[in-house]
Amino acid sequence: MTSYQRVMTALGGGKPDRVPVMVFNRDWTVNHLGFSASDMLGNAERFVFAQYYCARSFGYDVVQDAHGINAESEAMGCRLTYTEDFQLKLDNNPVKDLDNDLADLEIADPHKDGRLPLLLNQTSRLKELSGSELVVNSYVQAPFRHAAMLRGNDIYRDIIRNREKLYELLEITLANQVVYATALVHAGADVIAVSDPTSSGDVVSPGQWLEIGHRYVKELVRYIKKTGAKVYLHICGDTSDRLDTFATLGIDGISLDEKVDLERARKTLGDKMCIIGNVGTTNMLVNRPEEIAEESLMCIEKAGGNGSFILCTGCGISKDCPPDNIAAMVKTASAHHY
Amino acid sequence: MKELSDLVELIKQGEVAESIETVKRIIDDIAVEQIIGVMTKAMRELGERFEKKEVFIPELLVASDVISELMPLLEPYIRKRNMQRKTVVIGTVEGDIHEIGKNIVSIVLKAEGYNVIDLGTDVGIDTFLAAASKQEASIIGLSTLMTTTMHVQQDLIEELVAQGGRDSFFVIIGGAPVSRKWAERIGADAYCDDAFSTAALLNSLS
Repeated sequence: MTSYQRVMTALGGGKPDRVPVMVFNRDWTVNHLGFSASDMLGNAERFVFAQYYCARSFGYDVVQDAHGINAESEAMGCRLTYTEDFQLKLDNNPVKDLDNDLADLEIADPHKDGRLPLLLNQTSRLKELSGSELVVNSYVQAPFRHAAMLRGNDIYRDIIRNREKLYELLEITLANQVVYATALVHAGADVIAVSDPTSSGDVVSPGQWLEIGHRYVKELVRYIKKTGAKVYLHICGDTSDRLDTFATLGIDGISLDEKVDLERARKTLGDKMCIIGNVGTTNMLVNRPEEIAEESLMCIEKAGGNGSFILCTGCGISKDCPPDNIAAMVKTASAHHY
Repeated sequence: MKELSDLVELIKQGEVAESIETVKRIIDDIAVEQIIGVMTKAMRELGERFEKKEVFIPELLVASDVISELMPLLEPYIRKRNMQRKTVVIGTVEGDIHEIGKNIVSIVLKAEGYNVIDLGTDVGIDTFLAAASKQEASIIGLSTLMTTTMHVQQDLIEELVAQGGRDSFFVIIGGAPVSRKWAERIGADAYCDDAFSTAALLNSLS
């Protein structure tokens, strides 16, 4: 099987030739090649080269666009600043007044606004290079996450104090994400990752998740699935108390943070939901390759015994992660044949 | 006093205006320590419910808003009574602008009676150390939510060691990617999961 076939089989709920493997390694690949943050955020070709080169040389199965930079929110009025040390910051929340600022909020044009054209270009170039060999995985924020970037932390107060207006904002961010995700698929994305850390079980209640995050992820997924792309959701933090709700989102896979026990996730979600995870990101930074191999094996044993599984890190790894730890993940997955 | 028990509930429900009104009505008739005691009680009760996953960040934030609004009303009375309070300098480290967790720690410690100097987010090492020295703090709290900025916690401790001031401060770290193991590795004095365990730990040192 090619990497593409392997990952798509797992996302389809099937059993590939061996365990597929991916790594959330945006900064790491750039740093590994000796490039800078401005290369990543301003030069599609360098970022693409870093992603493609690392996937080829380490042997994992997926390349990604510059995920997690909140580019949609930047394109709608936030300000992204960064240092060459990969310290990315998004500030200037444009929806300061939820009651009055929504009228001025315009949906972004993915081909014109902010860094969205750069990300479309990254996706398109990654697809050109990868062809049918590697999976191209592009990233969109969940509508709630995007709204939180536009609104700032007050969004958590809005949940209690101004729910109706919050829904109005979420309708706007949903509309934006539908347009952007579709553009990414047209640019060549095979898989769309939807990220909603704002819906973490460490942050909002199961009820708030169902009424807000879940409701809008489900809508977004419904649209993305019409394009034919596969979709998975990532939520940072502990989501053990809402695992069952992932089955009703229409997603092909769920990427789980290291705080979630994969055995419990598998039992809750059944055999057909592709589980993606969840080697600890801090462990990737500080542990030895033997320990990472052991942890990877444990992930596989808990959730990947019967396919429908992609070995992955629980979230984004540090740019300083030892390369041998990535190699250890790949080696462990590659040795696990079905 | 009925107002005090009402105030506990008002804080827990995030009722800012009514809480301020209540405090203004009673502040001249009782010791300020009693009002701080009420704030402590309200936040501890919320903390217990947070531990049990009965309340989440939105509920903590609206309750924290009440504490934030009440503190300026109490400050003149605290100064007048010359209350002895430990000073905590707290912030999110340079490169990271996440603030919810740090803000809740800050508020809970204020509700517990600590003098909290909250430096905000994206705080450089020099700013931390200058503030800790100027404010005569005994505790430094370092928060980060990102794997990519965890190293700043380590850098600050190394800088403290280099300056010969490591023993002057109890350094506590927190944040989603941080662990007890990381605290041990970088030589921090403690790691805490959340605001309430931070308060419990610091109280146990007193």
